[in-house]
Amino acid sequence: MNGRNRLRILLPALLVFFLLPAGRQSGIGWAQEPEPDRESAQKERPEPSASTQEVVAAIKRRAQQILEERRKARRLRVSWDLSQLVGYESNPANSPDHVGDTYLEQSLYGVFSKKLTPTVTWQGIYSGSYDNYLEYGDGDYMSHTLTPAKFLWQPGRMWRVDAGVDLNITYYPRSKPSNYREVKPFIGVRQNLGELPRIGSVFHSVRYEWFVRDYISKKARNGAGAETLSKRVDTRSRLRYEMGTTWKETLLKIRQEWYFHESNDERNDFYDAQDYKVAFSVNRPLTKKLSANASYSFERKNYTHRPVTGITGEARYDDTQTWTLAGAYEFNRTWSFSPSFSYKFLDSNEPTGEYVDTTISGAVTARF
Amino acid sequence: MPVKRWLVVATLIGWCGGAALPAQAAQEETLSVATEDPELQEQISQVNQALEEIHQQLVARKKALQMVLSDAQKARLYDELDGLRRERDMLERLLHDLVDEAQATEWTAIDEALKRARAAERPQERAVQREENLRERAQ
Repeated sequence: MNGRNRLRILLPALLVFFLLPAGRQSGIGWAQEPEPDRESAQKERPEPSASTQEVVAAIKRRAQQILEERRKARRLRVSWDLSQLVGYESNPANSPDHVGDTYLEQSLYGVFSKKLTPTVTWQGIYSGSYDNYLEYGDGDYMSHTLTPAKFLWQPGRMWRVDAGVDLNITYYPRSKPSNYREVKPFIGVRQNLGELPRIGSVFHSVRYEWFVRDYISKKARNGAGAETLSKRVDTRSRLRYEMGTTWKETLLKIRQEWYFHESNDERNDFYDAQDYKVAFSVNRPLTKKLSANASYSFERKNYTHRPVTGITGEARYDDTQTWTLAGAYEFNRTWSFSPSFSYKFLDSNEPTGEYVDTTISGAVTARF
Repeated sequence: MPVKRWLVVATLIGWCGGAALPAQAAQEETLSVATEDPELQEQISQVNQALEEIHQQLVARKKALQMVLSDAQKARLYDELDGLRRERDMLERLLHDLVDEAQATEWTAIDEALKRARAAERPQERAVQREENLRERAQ
């Protein structure tokens, strides 16, 4: 084929190639769905003999009626989860002694939800729990978290945005100086990337949260270790990036987290730390009523200056590995049972801080 | 002219055409949304068709305007055009409300899977918090 003939074929082909996409209906990703069935819609339209104005007016009336009915149907939704958990922990004090104990946990989780617009939802959430050990009473504590406003924005199938603020108070009946209050604003964005061949529906998300923790009576120490007049205040910035896919109903996720924890306690900057965590998890429904969840995580916590026994010039670090296996069985719409097993191993350059902790638990939850 | 130069020219023509056409087509653009709600889908389709019809009538009156010479006829056509534009604006607002409503029901497989996983993660997060609280108290 000579150059001129090649051109005769190439040029129209190129023109067709570049012009065709411009004629398509515009839209982004998820919105590009097949054209609605115009033939059947045509049949449903009002009398063809009616004038255009009458047809348009009828369509408008019907559309307004549908919208009105749906807006009226939006009501405040409330749901409560009340759980009773019984567990055994091999090392609740997280010490090398390994003295196990049984613990009970009562928890209540309530969600108030209302659609403010078709794409914006408000949620108010309460989450409270009380943990008590049969013998290791020092571990008992009560925690209440109120989220007065959490807003979820769902502009289509691709994006999910949520933002709000958590207010928490944690109370230790046997160790009152450890009681604290916490304010935590947060924001998260998720992007559903759509269906990828052989991989499934893919998403990724980023989340940022920051908290200030105000100790109710504990004083901050100065560099020499003496208590100051100021109460201890800690802050933490956490960034989380997660990506995952749903492959044949199985949800696979990988999550990375970074946080920076700072405290006004100056004694060796004991509480200041930088933390990195990576977690893999799998969740899958096994039957209509039973689902399983497995996860593994590795966490490195680098303390800024916390000294290590017998070593000078090196700050402490902790490496924690956690394996978890959990299930959930729904007896009916109200009752469910969730067994869980977890194994945790903490490795550190501070030998007195190393420990292994195994927990096995079962929780019964009533939803109403 | 060498083949490569022809290819560049063809590409530019294609690009220019591709860039110009969507703007032209935008006048007749219809909104669609992926929803499993048949009532909304049908209503969106009907409003889209009504918009197309109004667009055709607008075009027809604009063509008629160029041919008509009498002032009275022109005035009548301008009035009709105004009326049609008002109808179009109202329908477009309605269409956006319907699409917003449909989007609110756009629940994906990922949403469902994450909701299920969230229920399993919440006790784990509580366990992590419990451990941190215990360690915090002990220090």
